[in-house]
This record gives sequence, structure tokens and C-alpha cells, in this order.
Amino acid sequence: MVKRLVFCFVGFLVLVAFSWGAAPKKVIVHYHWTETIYDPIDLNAVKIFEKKHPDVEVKLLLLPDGDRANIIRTVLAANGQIDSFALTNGESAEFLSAGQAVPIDPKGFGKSSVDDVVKMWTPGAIQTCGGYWDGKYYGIPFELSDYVGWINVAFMKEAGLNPKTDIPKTWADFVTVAKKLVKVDNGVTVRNGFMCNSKEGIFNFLVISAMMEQLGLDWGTEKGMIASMSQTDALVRGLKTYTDFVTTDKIWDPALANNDREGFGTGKSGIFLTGGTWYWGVLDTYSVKRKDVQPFPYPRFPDGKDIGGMGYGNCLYVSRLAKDPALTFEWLDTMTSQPNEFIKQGLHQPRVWLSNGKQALDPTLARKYIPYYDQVFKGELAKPSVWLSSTKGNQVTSAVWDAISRVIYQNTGVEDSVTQLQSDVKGIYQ
Amino acid sequence: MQKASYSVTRLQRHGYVFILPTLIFFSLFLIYPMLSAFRLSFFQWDLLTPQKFVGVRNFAAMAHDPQTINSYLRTLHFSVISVVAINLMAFVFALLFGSRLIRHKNLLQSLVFLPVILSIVAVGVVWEFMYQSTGIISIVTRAIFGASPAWLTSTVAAPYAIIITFVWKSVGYYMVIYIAGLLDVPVSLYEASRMDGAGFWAQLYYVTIPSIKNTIALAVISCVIFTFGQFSIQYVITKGGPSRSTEILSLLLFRQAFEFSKFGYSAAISVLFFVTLLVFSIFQLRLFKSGTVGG
Repeated sequence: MVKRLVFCFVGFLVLVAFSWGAAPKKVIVHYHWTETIYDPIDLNAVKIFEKKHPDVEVKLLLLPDGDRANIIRTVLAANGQIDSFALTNGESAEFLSAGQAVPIDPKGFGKSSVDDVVKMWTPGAIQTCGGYWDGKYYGIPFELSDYVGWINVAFMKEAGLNPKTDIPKTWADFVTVAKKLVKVDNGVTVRNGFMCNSKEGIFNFLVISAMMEQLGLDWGTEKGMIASMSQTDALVRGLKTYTDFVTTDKIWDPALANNDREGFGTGKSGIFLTGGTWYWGVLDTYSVKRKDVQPFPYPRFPDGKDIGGMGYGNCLYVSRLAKDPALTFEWLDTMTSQPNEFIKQGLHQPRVWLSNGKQALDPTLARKYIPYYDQVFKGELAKPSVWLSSTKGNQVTSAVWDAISRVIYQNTGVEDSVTQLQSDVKGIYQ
Repeated sequence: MQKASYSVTRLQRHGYVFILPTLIFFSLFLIYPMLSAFRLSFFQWDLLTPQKFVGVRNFAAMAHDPQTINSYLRTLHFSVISVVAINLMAFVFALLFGSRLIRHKNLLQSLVFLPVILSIVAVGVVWEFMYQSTGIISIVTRAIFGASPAWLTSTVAAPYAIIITFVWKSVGYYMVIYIAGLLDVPVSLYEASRMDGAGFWAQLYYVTIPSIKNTIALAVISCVIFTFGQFSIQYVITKGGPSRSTEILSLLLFRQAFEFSKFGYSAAISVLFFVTLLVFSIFQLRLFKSGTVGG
């Protein structure tokens, strides 16, 4: 009995000594968004990094995408624990202009200069993903996608159209094709030729933004947005083209359904314009089959610029509150080192080289897992329209959606709505 | 004498100890946030840059902001119609279920109360589908009237679509309040009025309504406060559209804070909210205290 007691006591002392002597682990807290099919890949990155750095613990916080930016904002305001975070290119301007992220440290990638880091991604990727601000690079691209058009070829055949030759190339073609896809039953539209989200202004903003850039307006920068407000003719033409879908062309009845991605997937629409490569995975959750769907390049104006759908992406940033910025950049390097796993789920990461010099994204995998990658997505990714990079981006988005809503819901004239838009944007940037 | 006052003081101290947890809870989660919001309304802040004192500029901006004015008027419209509809219907249901003419009262009361316990988000999602042009409400409306309004895409119809959903969701709760109030009315009053020759309507006006004056006050005030602060139904079904026709004050406040990062302006809107409800509550309490209801 005494021997047992002594043994236990000695064991206890050894345990205390062991735990007392062990150095506390460094902790990296990373704020990211959650997506069921991507989460395991992100968690695998944690395993890889912790294996390489046994003295580091990575806390990967997977948040609902709608709440993510505001949660990050709140933690930063409270000087909380946040070493790195993910932002979309529509969100980043506000954070970067307020000094909430640190510029890229090449040491984290084992490189000697920022240029060497930038070259590991496709040219222009960091800018398109919102990671470049005021002459410096901040963000590490995590996703680069672009909107393309999606059309239901089964509906096309039903309407006597040929998917090989009748895919719309201009906005006029678009309306002609969409009209044939509309289905009306007893005076009620039961299938839209085209639809966009009729509740969320952001999607409408991104589509019309592409149109405006095709018409020569710079809606990608603050300066450009302000300058474009004096180009009334182009504004009227862009707004009229878009709102005519509802008011004149009658290819879109907003009363049928409000969610375009769901509407297209359930057969309530023949065309939609807000899907990227990832939509293939989303489509698999709906009733419309992949074999009945074909992506196509955004239509153009015959006299407009050769610009496609909105390019958008996510970047990862090291917070100003990071305890060890170089180590945190090394973590971000690991986080973005699995592009071949993500491409299998349809998520495109624009990484060309890994830090060890090996090839990052395997183009053959992209072709294998993303239908129409070579025919549509690759080409359109090279000439996307640019998402507005502005500290007041959300307010501008809301003003543009108001302009669209006035026409389609209140029967306001397009010119009057443009006049109000010009006044609203001027007020925002005053 | 000293002994009695000593034990009263000790009793008071014990009383404070007992209410201390609740006091701490309300101070932390109600009083402090409220005072913080008042303070924040005098600042400009986006959480990312330091707070900037702007005095009453937020309030001045509100007075000239067509969106805030629109939201305020939409909130008043929504609240007035909803409160009147909810309380009238709840009162009628309470009277009906109190009468001997209705059978299967328990089942019917449960059916009327059932929407109250449903998740408001689930209610919003389902009703949104029902209001779509191929949804059941549109189909039934077309069948009866030959045509259906575009419930969620008409700036005229959408506010009423929201009101209908909200009234359906809420009436059961207030019905219970009115039933409780009616049960408290002494039967002898009805017997006495019957002996004096009073019919149903006379009893209702001279006996029932004056007797449940406090119940009406409670129901109306709580209904106004709850309705004025409503957010979920509009957020789920229309997100304030079409064209801001259902963008009530709480939704605008939410957007100003969490979409535009204008936390100071959003706090100023919340102060407007508070003042409106405070004025209304004082007016209501005075009205019901003065005994002007029911003669």
C-alpha cells in the first residue's frame, strides 16, 4: 500500500515537472468562411502546418460567409486574437485603407522579395482578388473565379434552338434566345428566359457592372466610378439594357422566384449570369442535370469592349494584430498550397508555383474536373470585369440596386433613375 | 422601536441581494448597451478606424435622409395596421372562444396559437414561396378574383403581404392575453347588466371593454413595441424590397451598421426608435389611466 502511494506521488511529481517544463505553443488564429466541401481541405492545411511546426497550434475559425467580414471587423476593433483572415475583393478596400493588414513579407514564403512572391500567382491575380492597395501587396489569393453565362440546353432544344450555333454572343442575341426560353401558362410565367436575384442587390450590381465596363465606364475603381457619373449616355444605355429584361423584353418576371442560382437549378429559368466554376458542384444539389447545362462567355455589346463577367476572389491577409507576421505568412503559404484538391471541388485557385518551386495548379486537373474549362472559363478569366475597389463599395452597390429597382418595380423612367443614381453616388463620395 | 427599524433595513438589504443577479444582468445587457448606443450616436465609426465625434450631425443627416424618412413612414404604416388587425382579431377570437356557441374550443384555440410557436424564419421562408406567382396564395387569389397581385414584387402589395404574414404569426399570442383578461371579468356584472336589459353589444361596450381596460393597455402597448421593432419577417421575405417598400426602421438600422459600417448613424436611428416608443408608451399609459375608454 505504501509502495503504491509512493509510486503515485512520484508519478504525479514527474507529470507536474513535465508540463511545467513544456513551452507553451504559439497560436495562430485564422478567420475563414465555411463551405462543406472545402472545409476538410482547409483543415488538412492545418495538419500539414502543425506537422511542420510542432510548436505551433493553428485555430481555424470557420464562419458563415454572410457574417465573416463583420465578425473580423469586430475582433479587430476589440484588439482581439486574430492573426490572419480571409476577405473577398469587394470587402478588402475598407480593411486595407484602415491599415488592418500588413504588407506581404517574402520571408514567410522563403523568398527574398515581394516580386518573387507575386510571381507565384497568375499575373494580376492579387489585384483582381483585392489584395493590392495603394502601391503595396497585402493579400494572398485563395480563390479567383469569374461569372459566366449558364444556359439550359434542354430548354434550348425544346424551343427549337441549336446549342452548337445559337448560344448568344451579343446582348441582343441574349434577349432573342431568352425570349424563346420563356414559358407562360394561363398568363402566368412559369419559366423565365433569364433571371437574376431579385432580393439581393449585389448580384444585380455585379452583372450590370460588367455591362457598364463593356460600355467603357471604369466601375472598378473609386476614381473611375466618380468619373463615370458624368457619362450619362453610357449609364442610360447600360441601365436600359438591363432593366429592359423585365420591363420591355419580358424575359425576367421577378415574381416567379428570387434566387437565380436556385431558379436555374430547379428549371425556373433558362439562363443566369452569376455562376463561376464552383456552380457545377452547386448544380448537383438541384434537379437540373449537368448534361442539360452549358456555360458560355458573357454576351458583349457589338461596339463595346471585350470584357467578360465579373472577376472576383478571396485573399488571405495577415492582421496588424498578428503576433508573428512572418510565421503567419508561412501559414498562409500552406493554406494556399492545395490548389489541386480545391480544383476537384470546382474552386479555382490562381497559384502557378509553390514555394518549393514545384508546379501548383495542374491544368489537366482543371480540364478534368471543370467542364468547359478550356472552352469558356480559362478565356473569360483572362478578361474579367473588375469589382469596384472602394471603401464605400457597399453604399454604391445599394445605390445602383436602387436605380435598377426604381425602373423595374416603380416604373420610373431610365433617365430619371440615372439622374437619381448620379446624385446618390455624388452624395456617397462627398 | 429600534429593533423593528433594524429588521426592516436588514430585510431591504436582503432584498437587494436577491435582485442583484437580475440587476447585473439587465445592467450588462440592457442598460449599458443602451447608454453606449446613445453615446455612439454622436460619433462616426466603422469599427476599423478611430471614433470621430460629430455632435448632432447624425441626427441632422437623418432629418434630411429620404431613406430614413421612408423607413420611418413604412414602420408607422406597418405598425398601425398590424397592431389594429392583431388586437381586433385577438379580441374577437377571445370573445368567440369564451362563448358557448363554439364547439371544439381547445382544438381551435391551439390552431390559432400554433403559428406563435413556429420559428419566424421558417414562417418567412414558407410564406415567401407561397407568395410567388406560382405559389398557393397567388393560385388561390387568381381562382377567386381572376387575377393576383404580384405579392412580393409590387411596391403596393408587398407591405400588405408582410402584414398578413405577421398578423397570422402573432394573433394567437394576444388572443391568450385577451382570454385571460376576459376570464377575470366578474360574471355578476354580466348578470346585473342582463337584468337591466342590456344586450350583447351593450354588454360589450359598458361591461366587457371597461373591465378589461388594463388588459387592452397591456396588449396594445406590448404589441406596438414588438411590432415597431420587427425585423425578421421583412429580412427573410423581402429584405426591404421591392424598392425599399418594406424597409422598416430596424432593417435600415441593420443595413446602416452591418452593410455600410455606419455604426454611429445606425445608433442615431436607434435613438429615434427609442424616443418614438417612449413617447407612445407614455401617451398610451396616460390614455388608459385617464379612464376615457368605455365612458
